[in-house]
Amino acid sequence: MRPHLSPRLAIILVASAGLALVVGFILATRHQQDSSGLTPAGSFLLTALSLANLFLMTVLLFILFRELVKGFLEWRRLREGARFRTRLLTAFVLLGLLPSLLLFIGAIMLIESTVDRWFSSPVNSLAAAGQQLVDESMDLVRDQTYRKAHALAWQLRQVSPGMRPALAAQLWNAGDLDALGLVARDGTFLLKLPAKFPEMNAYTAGKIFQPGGLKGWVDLSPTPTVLSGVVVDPQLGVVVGATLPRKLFERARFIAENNQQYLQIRSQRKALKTSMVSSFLALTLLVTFVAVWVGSRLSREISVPLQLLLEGTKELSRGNLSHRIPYDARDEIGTVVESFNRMTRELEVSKSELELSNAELRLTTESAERRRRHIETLMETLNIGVVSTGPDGEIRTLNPKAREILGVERGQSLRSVVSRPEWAPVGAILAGLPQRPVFNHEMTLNAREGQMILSVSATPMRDPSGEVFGNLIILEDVSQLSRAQRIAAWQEAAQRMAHEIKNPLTPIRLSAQRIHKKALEKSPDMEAAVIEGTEAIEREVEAMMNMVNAFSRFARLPELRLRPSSLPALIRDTAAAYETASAEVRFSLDIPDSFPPVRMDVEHMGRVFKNLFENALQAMDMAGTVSISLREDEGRAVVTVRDTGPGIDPEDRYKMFLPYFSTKKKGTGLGLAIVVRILEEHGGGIHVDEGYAGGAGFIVTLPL
Amino acid sequence: MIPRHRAVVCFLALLLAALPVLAAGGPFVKGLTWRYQDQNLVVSFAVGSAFDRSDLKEAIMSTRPVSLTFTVEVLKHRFLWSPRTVVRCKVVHTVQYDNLTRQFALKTKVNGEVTDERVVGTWDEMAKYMEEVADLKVTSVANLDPSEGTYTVRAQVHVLDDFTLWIIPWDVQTPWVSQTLSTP
Repeated sequence: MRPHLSPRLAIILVASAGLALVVGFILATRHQQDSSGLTPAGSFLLTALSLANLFLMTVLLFILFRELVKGFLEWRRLREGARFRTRLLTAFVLLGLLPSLLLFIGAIMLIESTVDRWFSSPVNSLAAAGQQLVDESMDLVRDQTYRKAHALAWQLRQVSPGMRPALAAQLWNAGDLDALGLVARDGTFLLKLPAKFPEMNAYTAGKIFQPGGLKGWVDLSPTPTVLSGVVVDPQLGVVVGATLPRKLFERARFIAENNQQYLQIRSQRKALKTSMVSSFLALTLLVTFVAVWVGSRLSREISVPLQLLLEGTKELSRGNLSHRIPYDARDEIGTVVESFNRMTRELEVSKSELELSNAELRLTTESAERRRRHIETLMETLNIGVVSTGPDGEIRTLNPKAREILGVERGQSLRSVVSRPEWAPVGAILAGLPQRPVFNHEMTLNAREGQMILSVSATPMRDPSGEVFGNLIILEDVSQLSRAQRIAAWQEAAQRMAHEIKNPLTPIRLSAQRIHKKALEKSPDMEAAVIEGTEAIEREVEAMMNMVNAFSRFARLPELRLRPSSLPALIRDTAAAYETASAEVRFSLDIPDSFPPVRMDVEHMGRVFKNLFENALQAMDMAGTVSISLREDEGRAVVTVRDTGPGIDPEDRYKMFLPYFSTKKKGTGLGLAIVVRILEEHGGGIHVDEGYAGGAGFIVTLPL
Repeated sequence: MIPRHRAVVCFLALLLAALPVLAAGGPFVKGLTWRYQDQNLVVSFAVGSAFDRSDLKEAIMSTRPVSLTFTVEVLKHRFLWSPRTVVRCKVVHTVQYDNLTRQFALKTKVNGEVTDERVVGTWDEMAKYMEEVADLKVTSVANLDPSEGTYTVRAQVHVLDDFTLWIIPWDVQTPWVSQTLSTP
């Protein structure tokens, strides 16, 4: 948007006003200095200048009026930025107008007083005095010639008309008169002395014959002469001339000419004032115009982008982020507008990204919600208990099965439950989770409903940065499963036992049948058959007896005699006995020197370690390393026994602690069952070392 | 018409009405007479109150040339049309005072040509000369055709160049005075 007054027009106006001013000043100055007076050409120029100034004033006033009215109308119409623009314009106009007006008024007063002072006393008096001096000097000559003319006329009247020329010539010859002439009524000279007498014209000749005569007529050609003439008789007049002294005349002329200049200037003082005031007025209007024009331009330059900014902010408030301000400038306002446009552009981009993110977030939220519901449903329907804790071990969530397993009522604190004695192991697990992030254990609890076999596993939950933010605890009631497995194991044990009992019965029956057959046949080798048969029967019965005795021992272990004993010593002694069994067997012991005493039956516990070590040696086929470590963990002694054998088949992990389960051809299958029995009677336990993959591993725990 | 415009119109009307009042008291044309003489339209008139003005007297006594311009126009009036100027005649009386001899040099130009020059010794003689235009031959009767309409002779005298409010040119001149011409 451009100002309505184009720069070209403004330049033309300013140039015209400037030119008029220059001309005005030159004329005014010339009139001040030039004493020749205002010539018609000068008057014309002055008039032209005045008209030009008037025209310029009209134009400037029109522009001023137009700008002000326009600003006022815009203000009344409440256009954006109009108020600011009007105020700015008004400020510029006032700033330009007030000083200019004051200067103009001051200039008028100064011109008035100065010009008037130029023509006041003493200059005026001096000029007047000079002129008076000239006039009085000339009057003196005039009076002399007039008196002489009267005297001569009287003398001429005393003689007859015919004698008058002679008398006149005689008087002139007397030397008292510079010039003398006798004039007829028609103006012709009857006598003129000397011959170069100034010519009479109709006016001067007529004056001689009028009342009062011709008094002091000055004729400058050929020489400055003062003429006075009176009537002698109705047909004759006498003219007397006095030649002005040369010096006197030159001085009088000098004074008169200077006085002329002064009088001419004085008479033109109004024109002079007009010229100067006109110039100052043009200057004032020019300054005002420049102020208005600059103010208008500046106010537009400021108010237009401001208006655009206001509209832009309104568009922004309406949510139209695609709005841009069409304004291009390199100044600070242009920078503001550019910043605004950049801001809206970035806002638009941000909004798009935000909307996109919102949509993605909504989708993610919906997906997460679906997943949460899915997990929640899964958790609610899951037949295992799931508990999540915070990094401090505080329980955050637990599903219904976990509540069921732990017997937690809704709103009841889990900690209050696990603090109960029967849940002490679980409480210990929860309390020790931060220190033992990975945990997998099966334990038997004496819950209210009876004995419960609980599989507990804990896994730390980590965020993407690897930071642990909690633990996930899985509680699985494996009582039914364990019971079923035990039943199945016992069924298998019974089948084995039946099979083991059945095996001797067949040779017994065959031996009996052979003896019977030999007896019936009265075979000569009957005696030998009886002997062999009875020997076989005794042998098989002996085997059966051994088997029954072993089972009887398993069923009826002797009562424990618990005494505080050194577990490290027991482990070292037992290991030392087996270390010499084979040169290819090595025992690696990690046992602390000082360890709290353990209440145990040394004999029974020695059997436990013998079983474990024998199993390890047999599994390694008498070649390998058996690693044994002992440590204290939360009031329990933990012994880990690991071998380098083939390891344990995962399917056998639940069966291997049951009676009559053996992977060996000659084993009774009661070794580990006895171990479990002894350890349980000590308040401890044994389970497979799940984290060891280099062979078979067992972890034995005993209370301290 | 809205009140604002009405106020402007009223102001302009008042200004126009005040112009004759403002002009009253200034110089005026007096004694406008005309006659047909020797197949010519001859006009005589004078300006009154011109030499009562101190500024004119001061201008003359300042020794610079001062002129009074007498304008005579013969207008032909047409029906429903603006009058046509048949002839315009300008007489310029110029006076220049000599403060050394205290004489007034007078000169008359008719339509740019000098027709008379003289020197007089008194103010009254000068004033009488300057005020009057006597027996001015304006045009030939042949230039006037009575059958085509009426004719008017009018006269105006421009006395001084002047300015009002310092800067506005506002010449001192008489209003036009006119008389209808009868058939030659």
